[in-house]
Amino acid sequence: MLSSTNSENPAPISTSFLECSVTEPRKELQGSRDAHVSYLIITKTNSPLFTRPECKVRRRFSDFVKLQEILSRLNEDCVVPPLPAKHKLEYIKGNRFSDNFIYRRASLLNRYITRCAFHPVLHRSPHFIAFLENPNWNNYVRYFIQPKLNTTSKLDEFSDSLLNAFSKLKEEPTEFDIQRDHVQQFMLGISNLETSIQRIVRLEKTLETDYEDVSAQFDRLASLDQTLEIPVESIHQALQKTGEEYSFLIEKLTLLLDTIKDVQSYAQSLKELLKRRDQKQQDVEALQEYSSKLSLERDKISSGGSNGFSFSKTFDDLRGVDHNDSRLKRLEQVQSELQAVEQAIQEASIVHEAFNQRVREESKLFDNVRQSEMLSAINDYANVHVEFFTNIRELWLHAKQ
Amino acid sequence: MDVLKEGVYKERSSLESHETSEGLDRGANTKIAIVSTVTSSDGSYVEYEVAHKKRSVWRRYSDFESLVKLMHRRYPAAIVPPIPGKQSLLSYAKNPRKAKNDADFLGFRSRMLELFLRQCFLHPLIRVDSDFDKFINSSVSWNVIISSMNLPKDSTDPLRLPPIGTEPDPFAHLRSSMPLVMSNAISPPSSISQKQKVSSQTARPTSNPSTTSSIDGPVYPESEDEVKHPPTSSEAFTTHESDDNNSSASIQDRSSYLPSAIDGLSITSNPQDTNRSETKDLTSYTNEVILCRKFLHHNLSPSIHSTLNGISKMESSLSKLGSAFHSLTALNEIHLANHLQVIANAFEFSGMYAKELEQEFNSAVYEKLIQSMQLARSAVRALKYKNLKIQQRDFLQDQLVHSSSFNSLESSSPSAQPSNRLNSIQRAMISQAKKGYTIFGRLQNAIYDFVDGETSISKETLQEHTKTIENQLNVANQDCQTIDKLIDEELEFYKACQSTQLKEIVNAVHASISKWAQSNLQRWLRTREELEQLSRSI
Repeated sequence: MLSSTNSENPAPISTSFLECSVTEPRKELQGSRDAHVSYLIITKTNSPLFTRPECKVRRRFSDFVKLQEILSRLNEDCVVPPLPAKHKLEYIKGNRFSDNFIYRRASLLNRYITRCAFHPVLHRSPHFIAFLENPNWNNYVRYFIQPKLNTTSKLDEFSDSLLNAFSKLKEEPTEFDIQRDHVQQFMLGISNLETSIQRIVRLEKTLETDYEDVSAQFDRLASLDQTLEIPVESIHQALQKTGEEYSFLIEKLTLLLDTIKDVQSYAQSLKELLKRRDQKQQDVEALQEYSSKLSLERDKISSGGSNGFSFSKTFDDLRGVDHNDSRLKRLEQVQSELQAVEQAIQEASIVHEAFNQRVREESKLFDNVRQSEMLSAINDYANVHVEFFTNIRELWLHAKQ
Repeated sequence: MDVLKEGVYKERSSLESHETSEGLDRGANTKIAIVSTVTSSDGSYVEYEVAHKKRSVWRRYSDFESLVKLMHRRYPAAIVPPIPGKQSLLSYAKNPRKAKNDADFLGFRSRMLELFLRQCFLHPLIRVDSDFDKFINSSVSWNVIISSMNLPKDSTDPLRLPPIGTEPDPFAHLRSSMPLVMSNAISPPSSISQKQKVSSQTARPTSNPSTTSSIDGPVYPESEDEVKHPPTSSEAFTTHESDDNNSSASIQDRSSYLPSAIDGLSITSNPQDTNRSETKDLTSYTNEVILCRKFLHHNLSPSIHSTLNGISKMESSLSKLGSAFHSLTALNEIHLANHLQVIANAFEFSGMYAKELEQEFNSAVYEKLIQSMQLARSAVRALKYKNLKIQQRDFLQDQLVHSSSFNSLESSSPSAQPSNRLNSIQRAMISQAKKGYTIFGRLQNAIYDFVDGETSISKETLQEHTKTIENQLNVANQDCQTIDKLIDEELEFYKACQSTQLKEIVNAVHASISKWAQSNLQRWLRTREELEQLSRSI
């Protein structure tokens, strides 16, 4: 569970708290086409943004998906925690109602909600609050949010026309570049870790069957050869139970693996955020380029037009348009455009700077989350293994007697 | 002795034997060990130091081999303990190495040779054998000892050897002419004890990989014994599928000398004399031994093998996990990095312990299991020999019966045959009888017929023939009696060896897994403590 205080970030400790938990998966409407699993969300808060201090609602996975979409579209500057993957394979195999799967999904959703609650911006989002307490989520989505999703912001208009997705940023390695590299490396390391853990879990599965097999064989040995008195009874039991212990270990390790995967996808979201930020910066820079181009043109015009032969001059002569007039008109045009662009640049810079600030905050948040989650994962690992080996030793000590 | 200490491998293999064998006290307290191995002066072979009663001799692997061969010849009825095989072609192809250079392999051989010697000390016949004594105690080179014995050619079939070679053999002159019987002979009606083939009710190997499947880590030494399926032992007995495994074995009906019209398939149990009950036990025990061996071969050992594989793979994966954690330390802040370091260490230690477990398991459990299998195979061979001897005797009896019937036929109608020739029917019967059921018999007859034409079989030859048969029958009877006397002791020996071995195996499984769990537990407890300390110090 993430607490709202951490030592790295000396933010003011908020007096309000928000606690959510996802529990009690229940299978709904079984047998019909719309069979699904719903999860109970319990919220306890003392924040004034909520209508009641305690709410309980039931949501299904697609509701979570919708919430995710909303939050990420409307809060571009946040790292919205990632949702557990849809696990299409299990859908096809028809396994999505197995207890194991549901349990895992419930714990992942729990972590998702907790993260959102912990997020300084997201947890104040009205949509999030609606999700937590509004009993009629579907209507809310359809009538209130959907239209909003379809509008775009003013900045987007400008940047759409100027966007060049393949242009590179200016060369100075900003703090964000460093951060991006950092995240990248971290993701590599984590995925390495994840594959190792997966391999171990697989091996442990084979070991489990092996132990059971050996135990069965020893049992048969005893029944086979009555002339030889072999004390296989104890060993048979112990081996079998060892196999069982391995299966428990595997379950727990799988849960921990989910944690690691989660951290990984969180890192991925951060990476995407950084990319978005980079894009915004590109937009701003493009605007600036445009503005400098315009001012060059203006200077050119105001300095008396082009020297020597030019098409526009001759063309104007042909049309009988006054040079000066047209020049002045053009100058006016350019001026006004320049002004508009400058204004846009200013606005954009402000927004961009705010965005940058948010990104810094997100990175810090990510660091915190990453640390605490990995710490708890490591502790869990140690505990799980201690338990496992304690049990095994007990088993075999007992068998000796 | 041309042993020099150039490149000395010092390997301490397991030392003293703590066996308590029932009733075989003399062998129980002998301590014999193979304490080290030494490469010869020119580096071409390895010698093993056999230490016994504060004396040691050096023997090489081929010495052991020739000792075993000698024991087989001298005591064809005995269960000779097995020695580790040479490298099978398959495992050599997988991992080409010279035996003398591979420390693991040498360790394996030393352990198995020591086990061999210990079992020899328990064996009632071998341990009092003078040549075995020389092997153990005398510093004379084994080649010299061997060449000083007058051994007949190696290719003698064991059926033509006396069951106990050290005693003076009153029938030595008759040995070479004893008939050879094949094990799956289908006999004429009167009396053949019927052995049952171990039917397919022994579980076939399940999903376990064969022992020759590819192995990642160290190659577990396999001799060719394990590679082959057990062909000879199971075909040693005639098959009649109507019977199931557990029906009682048939007993030969000795009292009938006349060719009775007993259906060869009928089972009669006639526990009149002790010899017969011995035979009954023999057969059923043979079945048990075969079952045991098959089980060990097909089921227990592959499953232990795959467990070993799993454990060795675990070891590499665990250490990789440790290094994955390690590599993350560089990317994270100090606090987290320390934690990561701690857990990385824990996993690496885990990997180490897994390797230890694997090694112990291998040497204490898996190898012993293989040895048990080989011992069972040896026992099967010895029991087969006994059965063959019995068949030999029965065959001779039949022959006697046939010849005496001919004689009586002959004498009853002398006038019908003025000449010394037999009529064609009788001749056919004789050649049928004489043919035996052996290739040699047939060949002999073919040659006679070719060479001598119709005059080959005459009345005198017939009578001589009967005489020979009688003598041979005598020999066979004597042999069977000797064997019967031996059986009890042999079976005791076998049981003692196997049960001690299996007990040791069970204990070893216990010990190695407990140790593994214990060391891992300590390490993880310490890890947890360290982690807590780290968290508290923030």
